[in-house]
Amino acid sequence: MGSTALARGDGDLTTYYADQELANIANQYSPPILDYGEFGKSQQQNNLLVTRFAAAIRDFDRRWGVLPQFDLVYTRRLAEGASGDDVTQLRLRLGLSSKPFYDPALSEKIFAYRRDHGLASGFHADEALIISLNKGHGAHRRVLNVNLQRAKELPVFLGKKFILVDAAKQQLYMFEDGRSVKSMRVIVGKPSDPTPMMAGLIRYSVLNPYWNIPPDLTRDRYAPRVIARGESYLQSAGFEALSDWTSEATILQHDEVNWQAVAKGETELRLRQRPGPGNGMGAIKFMFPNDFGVYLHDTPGKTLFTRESRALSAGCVRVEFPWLLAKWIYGERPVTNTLEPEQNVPLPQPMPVYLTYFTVMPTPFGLDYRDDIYNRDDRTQLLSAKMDSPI
Amino acid sequence: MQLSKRTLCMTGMIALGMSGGNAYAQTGPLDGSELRGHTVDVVFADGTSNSVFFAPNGQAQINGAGANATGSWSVRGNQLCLQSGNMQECWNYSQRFVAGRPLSLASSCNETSRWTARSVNPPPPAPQQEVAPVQRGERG
Repeated sequence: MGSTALARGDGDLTTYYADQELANIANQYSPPILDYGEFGKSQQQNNLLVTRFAAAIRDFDRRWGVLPQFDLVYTRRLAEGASGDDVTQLRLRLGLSSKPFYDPALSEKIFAYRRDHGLASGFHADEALIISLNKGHGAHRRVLNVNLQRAKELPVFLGKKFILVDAAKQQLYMFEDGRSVKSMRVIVGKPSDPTPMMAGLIRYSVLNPYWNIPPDLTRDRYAPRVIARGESYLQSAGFEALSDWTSEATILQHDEVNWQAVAKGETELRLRQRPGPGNGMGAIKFMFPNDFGVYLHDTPGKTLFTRESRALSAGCVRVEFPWLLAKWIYGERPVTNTLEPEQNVPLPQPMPVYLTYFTVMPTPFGLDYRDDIYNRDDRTQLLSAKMDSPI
Repeated sequence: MQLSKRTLCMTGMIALGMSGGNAYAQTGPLDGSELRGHTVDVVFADGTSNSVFFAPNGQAQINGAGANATGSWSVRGNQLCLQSGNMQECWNYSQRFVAGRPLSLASSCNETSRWTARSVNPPPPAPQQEVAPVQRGERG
């Protein structure tokens, strides 16, 4: 692909800008040349996510940053009606008066604490609560800061219409005029193949797509299967081997390929899957040129969307309702009048797409915590500390 | 340091507010580099104004109506701090200054003031991609 992207991150701990045009806008090196609507004309200083985080952090500090910070010892599960010294200590830690009774005021305080710190909802005090309290306000605040930083890495002007994929939430959001108008589930990369944090521009879609399989997947996943099951595997899976990565590539026969060498990584092979019901890209893929080979696309495996944990892909983002997304992007359902493979449908107005990773997100209902499936929060904190260089 | 009825408040050496989030914000590292050698006009809530020259060596020259002071400036976490003697005031600093674009900054004294840089240094060139490999195909 050979993108000349102005990169601003590695995609793992910082956001990678895949598209020079978007990077320019984000950096404010040049005025927006896309239709950014009213956002492009405004003098806003933060994007809507930063604004949302800033308000949530202020509220979080106001509620919890002023409490006395001392460690508690977990003694037993406590609930309303309990009494004892451990209740007194818990009350003091939560800024309530010194008395040994687990009264409704303590219940309410604990309910609010649990809600704001991602604990299971309830009015009780269990070991998880004590562990959370003993982490201290600073630790919880650092998680919020990490996520704020991720929001800051996105452009101030996100776009009049844009797509936001949150890999931690495993959800896609369609934003229009500053608010999410539609949402759908997505399947994102598994922890060993994480979906990168990336900002790009969808420039076209492909109908009846081939799935061009990256060489490392061919080496590690598919060449061994061909070796084990023979030529019939290639046929049944709809794969074809190609001579190279150019548009003039020719199809190779099974016995023209040294599959053992491919599996060992001694030979690189271009393998692709023909369009059809079992094609890994489904019926449409949304292309935003990038060096990761990560795109949004349809999938034949619809049942996987019902799973609660959907970190299952090799890094791409599989979308639950690709035609709903396509219609929203194009204004109408893109069509092709041919059954030929790989039909490009240009998008006259490129659409910003942000692949993000928020382990906590402020919502109208409070802070929504998600699992750190890619183990990025701690590593981002370390990176931030390293880059924190006072004059 | 009396400057147009405005003084730096006593906050000790503690930088309040956000920390750890200053790596690469909207347009580059938040280390104050855009201000080195430049002057910022500051208008306070009561209407008084100062100008602050951010010398490259960390010194600050603060000029108000009929009063001048020297001190030092620094960036700590997401705070831009001015110090003179044992007085210090820090302002929330979450994005780089852009010439002519006013920023409303909240201070550790719980006051909001309007900061407009007359000119700034350009942001450093963004790092070229070193990590992301050139990828052929779609990962699926």
